[in-house]
Amino acid sequence: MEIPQLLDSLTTEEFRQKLAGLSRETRGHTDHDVEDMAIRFASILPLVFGHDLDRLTLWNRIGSALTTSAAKTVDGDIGFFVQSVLTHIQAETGQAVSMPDMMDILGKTAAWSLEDRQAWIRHFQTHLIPTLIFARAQWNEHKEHTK
Amino acid sequence: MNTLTIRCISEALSPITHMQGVSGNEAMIAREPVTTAHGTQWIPFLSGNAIRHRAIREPGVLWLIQAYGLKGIISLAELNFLMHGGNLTESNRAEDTGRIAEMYRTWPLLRLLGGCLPNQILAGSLDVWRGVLVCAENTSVLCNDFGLRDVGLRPSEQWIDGYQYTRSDAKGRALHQTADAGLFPDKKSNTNLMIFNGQCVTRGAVFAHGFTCKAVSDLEIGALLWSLRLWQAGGGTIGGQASRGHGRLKMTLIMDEVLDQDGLCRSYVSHAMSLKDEAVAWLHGAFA
Repeated sequence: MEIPQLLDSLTTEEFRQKLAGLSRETRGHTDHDVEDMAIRFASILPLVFGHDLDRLTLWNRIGSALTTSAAKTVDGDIGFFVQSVLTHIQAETGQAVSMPDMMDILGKTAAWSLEDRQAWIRHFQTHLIPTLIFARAQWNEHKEHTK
Repeated sequence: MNTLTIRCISEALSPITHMQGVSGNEAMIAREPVTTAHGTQWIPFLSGNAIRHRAIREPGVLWLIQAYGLKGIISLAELNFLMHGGNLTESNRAEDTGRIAEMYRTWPLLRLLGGCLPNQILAGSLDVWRGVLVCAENTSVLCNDFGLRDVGLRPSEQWIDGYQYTRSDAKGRALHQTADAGLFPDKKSNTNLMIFNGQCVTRGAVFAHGFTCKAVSDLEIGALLWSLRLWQAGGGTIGGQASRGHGRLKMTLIMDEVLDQDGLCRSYVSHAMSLKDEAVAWLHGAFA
């Protein structure tokens, strides 16, 4: 019979050092900041929603865009995430690049720490429906103001 | 004879699905209430019962069964005694101290774990700690039992995720293999795909746990370490869904003093093999 390997061992101090990797993320922004930015991003997506798509599927498609893009994004890559969302809703490139709100969101989130960016992207997976509820309300408000 | 405390950590190498129950098709992970400054939180844990069985008794006993050539020879009652601790099924008014002493001498692993003969309860000498998830809510117990300083651990919810699998229906893809194909002309409308899912503790999470060996000799410590080594060599699984790759733990001892693992294990193995015939005779005698 094969002799099983010896068990690995650590000293208490080595154990403490190992736990550094399990410590809380260094977040510069609160969950509230992350939530606000998520709602703001989702609320501007109807502006660039593809003309070839059925407008009646607007919020379903935005929801699936956010969920699938969040699942595909690694390492808090905001640029990839936004690109993936816009592709999913068939946004027109010219329209998207000329949106001041899009520029503002990209600029601000790109300056966030890795943990904050990851938290922002994860927020779309864990709080999708509440995010869309508030985003839709903001979008409706925007439509009222621009009538 | 001395009392020894062994502290360990076990890191999840695959999702850990140590379950407590089900809700519909969703398996719910085992959690325990922990009182924190923010109220009572329900935190995943590993039961001492599961660790005791999967990490010590099962690998240790299976090795002895193989080493003693007991496969196909022992009775179900004997196997239940070895593998699961046995049951008290007769009167226990008469205590046979000679029989206990002989078991302690010939079966160090059973002295460690204890058990129950049909007419006699045999105390063990091992306390197995519960597996405590290394997370913010458990900071207090981690500081107390493991000498940890409060380093601002992540909250437990960051270590919990889910999984989903599907159980297919042969009607969908392999109906033609059966004699029943004619019964289901429209095979697609009759397929019965079942989705089942559940919660899990994610890879990379760490559980802290330990063992207190009370008034033990080196042989019992050797039996414990040998069993843990066998468990790790066999994949180190705990909880359910191991058949789907879940439940793998990598265990590491936390020790500031040098523990002669190899020497203790060699002594135990040597002792167990030298008393093979007496150990088997004791087992058969106890269940005669």
